[in-house]
Amino acid sequence: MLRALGKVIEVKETGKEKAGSISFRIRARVAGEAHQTLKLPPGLKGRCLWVERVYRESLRPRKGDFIVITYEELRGLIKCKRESLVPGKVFREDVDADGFPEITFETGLLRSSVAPHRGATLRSLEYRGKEFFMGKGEYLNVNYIELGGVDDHIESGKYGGALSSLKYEYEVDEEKIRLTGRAKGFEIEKVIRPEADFPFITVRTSFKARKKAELNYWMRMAVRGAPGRSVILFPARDGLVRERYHFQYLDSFFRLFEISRMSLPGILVLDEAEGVSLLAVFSRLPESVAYRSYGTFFTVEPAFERASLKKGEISQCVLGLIPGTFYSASGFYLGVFDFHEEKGRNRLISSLVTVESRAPELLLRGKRISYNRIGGFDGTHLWMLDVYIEELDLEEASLLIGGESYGIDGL
Amino acid sequence: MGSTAFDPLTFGYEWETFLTGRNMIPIKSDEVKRLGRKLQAEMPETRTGTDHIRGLDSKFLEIRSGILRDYQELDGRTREIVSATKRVCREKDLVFFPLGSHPLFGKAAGYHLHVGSVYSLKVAQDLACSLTPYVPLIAAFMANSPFWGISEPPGGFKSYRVKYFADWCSTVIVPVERELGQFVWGNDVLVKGIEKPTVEIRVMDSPLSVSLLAEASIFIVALTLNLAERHGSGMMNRNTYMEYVVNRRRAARWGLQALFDWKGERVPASDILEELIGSLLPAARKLGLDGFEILEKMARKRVTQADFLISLYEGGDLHVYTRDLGNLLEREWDPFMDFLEEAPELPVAEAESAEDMILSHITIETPFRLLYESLEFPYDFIEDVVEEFRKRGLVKVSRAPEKGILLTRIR
Repeated sequence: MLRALGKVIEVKETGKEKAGSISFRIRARVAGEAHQTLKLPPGLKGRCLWVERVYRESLRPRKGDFIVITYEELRGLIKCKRESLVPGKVFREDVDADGFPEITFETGLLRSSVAPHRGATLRSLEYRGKEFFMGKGEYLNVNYIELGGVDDHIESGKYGGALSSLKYEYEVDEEKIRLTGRAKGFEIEKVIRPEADFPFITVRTSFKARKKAELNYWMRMAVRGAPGRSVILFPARDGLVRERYHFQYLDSFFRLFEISRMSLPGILVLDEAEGVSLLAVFSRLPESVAYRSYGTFFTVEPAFERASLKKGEISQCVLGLIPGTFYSASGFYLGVFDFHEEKGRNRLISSLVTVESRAPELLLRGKRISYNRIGGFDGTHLWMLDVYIEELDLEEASLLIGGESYGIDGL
Repeated sequence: MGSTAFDPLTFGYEWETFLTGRNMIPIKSDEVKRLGRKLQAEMPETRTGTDHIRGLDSKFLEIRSGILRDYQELDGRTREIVSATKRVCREKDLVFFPLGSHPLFGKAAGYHLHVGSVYSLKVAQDLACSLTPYVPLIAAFMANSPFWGISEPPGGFKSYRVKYFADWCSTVIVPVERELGQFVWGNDVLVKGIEKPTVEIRVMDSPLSVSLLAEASIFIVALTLNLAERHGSGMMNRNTYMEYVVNRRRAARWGLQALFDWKGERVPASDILEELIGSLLPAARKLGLDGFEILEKMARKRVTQADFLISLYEGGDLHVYTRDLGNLLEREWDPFMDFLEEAPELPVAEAESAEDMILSHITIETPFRLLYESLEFPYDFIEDVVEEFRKRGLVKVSRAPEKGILLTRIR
């Protein structure tokens, strides 16, 4: 959340509050940002405003003091009204309270925002009222604030690091948003395309080398987590790897969980209490996927094989995000099973249906999936599978979870 | 052991303090280094420099007193260093911010007291053992970290730093057989003899009160001196060790409101402090301090610096609070002293049992490792308690070859 540093220029005591506190009206001049990562919108510095505060006597503000002014207090000075770009579908609004507008897509099934001013980070993904990324939560360090979402990182020769400080130009139409930016050595294009009739969004990121370059690309997904009830599933060559998110204050420094043996290009995040899932699939098999836990969120960081690019050559990666619901019973998970009724059938993704069970008989109340593989994931619909969902009996359930392609663990 | 253990009796401290910009964000490491060098050059008898802040891209200004011999030298030098630090901060538009944790980031800032000169490592080891039961009491009256960023609720613990083992820089003492003693880094009390002829007490939060710093230091030195005169090896049995471990946690939670297990009885920490104050007065007088006026008041009212910080927090935005607190600490020399005069007496808190502490850390598939790292109770004790939980149907215990024991709370 944006905050400003203000210098007090006038203080008026306005009343006594309970328990010895005093209320004040304070006039302050905006002196700068409160954290270097969140820059002030143009024109804000030097403006004056009144804020109302309650303080203990010992904290009584004085002329010349510095105070921190919150986003709510700054709202009157910031132009942050919601604005329609494509009626009913695409909006410009400040969803993460950083003082700059994001571009928001709304379909009947999901709502998602991207921040052109902050590295084209996919800031928000909301499905049935559930926000998957961090939203307005904050994790601070001296040089950055974690706002959540999916951002890009590169290392290329002597250049590199997070691209989240890049500013992108953008064009919007009914179907997609196209963002373009330049990092040292590369022209970057991102195309974000939500599905109209399916809870599915793709992010195609292309790096065009401006000269001969090596590209190490990874993305960092900061996902809101519920300690003890969020589960991350990684399809690995030796079976499904399952990590449960626990709040571990020190883990982020000392322990990095990393898998370099992925068998399928994706991961699945489950929130057991809410029965909501997020499937992330990639157009390429990651070389490794790292996982870290933090206080209120965790990160999943797929890294891709290094690309050697000639001048003008393009390296591309597509991320597909599919929020959904899932069924579970006593440690059994049945895929990403939200679906959209269309012409009498249910369409469902994916090559990354994940199934795990230690008690197959409990599957009786589950559903059956049948599917036809159409193709690999190249960022279009062709990779998707047609899936039919119907009641399932015990014998069929056993067959289903016995399938080799599911990477079953613990049977 | 005897008072001849010290040849001669000396002491000194390392005081980790935050230096922030006017936005209350810690400044860059290089700037802290430059400031530390300047201060040491101004006062060559001190050893002021910097120390690492684990997990933050900055450094502490570590105020190192140099060798001290009595209260007058301690108090005089401390005031001199603080005056110089505040002056330099004013010149450079910085804020001197000595707290046990930074409200916005967490991050443990400690106050480490060395008592020497002890040239026998065996004697130093016995001293460290003798001090162990008193560590929770010291942690209680020095509690000064009730804020821990977004990871924890404000005021939930009086010392989050002690709860989080000072980011693994002040951990539960690992007992060793006398004849098998070795250097172990990071314990609450350290035998520092391999590099300095001292015993180092590390459990204290970085204090904001200069007056308390001086008086508490003399208290700890006097305690060490008294224990040395008892001629014991200080070895602990299971009961005294468990009292230390459990009391430590209660001290972190409640400060001087804590109710301790003490020699088989339930005794308020404040009563133990009052009793010790009486018995340590002769030793304190030899060190040039006539009475423990501040500690006496704190014990009588059961208040700590943490209670002072909590009393100023009206809820709401932590960044706003941190800046306001910065104004107060810039303006006032020792605002804790005023608070102490006016603070109401706080009640003795209920004592949470070790079993409840363990149970409260078990959610779904909680790794044993996480349970251990959260509490640092001995393996033997945790295993016995968990087995009891299992028998009572409170917890399900499962085994995972790659993760060890996983515990799930059933009810």
